[in-house]
Amino acid sequence: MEINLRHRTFSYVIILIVGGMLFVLSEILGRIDSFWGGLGLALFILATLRLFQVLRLKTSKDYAKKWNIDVNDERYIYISKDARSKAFYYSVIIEAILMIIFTTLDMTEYTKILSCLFVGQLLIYFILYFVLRKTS
Amino acid sequence: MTQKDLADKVGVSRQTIISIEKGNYTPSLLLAYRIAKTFGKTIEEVFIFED
Repeated sequence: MEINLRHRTFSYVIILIVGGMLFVLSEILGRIDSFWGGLGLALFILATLRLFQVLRLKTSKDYAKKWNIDVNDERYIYISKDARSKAFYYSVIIEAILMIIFTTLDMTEYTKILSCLFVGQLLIYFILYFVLRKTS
Repeated sequence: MTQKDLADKVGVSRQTIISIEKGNYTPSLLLAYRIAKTFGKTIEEVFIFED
């Protein structure tokens, strides 16, 4: 898989501009809530770091080669998918345990929120499972 | 040929080659084919299938 640096640069510049605008509108001009300022700053920093990475990919062939292997190595991809799968598995178990604890403590609001999250996650899982079984 | 040379030729990390050698990771058919091709051998000659 080749790296589309032009597309990446364009995307990160857009994120940089949006982040910067949100920060200026919130923290400097005070037009919008401070939440958006924080989000804007986070986007700005992320985009800046990514743009530095793109610059390094353009200038250093060794780094580009190493990066390409890190992104496309099939074992790393397998490990990443396995980690995601385990993260989902454990998060569902933790949510179930927390629901039992909150129900026992009569904290129904938390139980309701967790129930929605729990059911939502399982629903997405089952939909994806059947869609992927048909298409993969 | 070193592990690094092989890794560079087939486009994976050295850690992946080490894992395959140790038997901790089973490569895909494509990677197995690339490794075999690098050595000028068939997949069956390079890899042993364990049931």
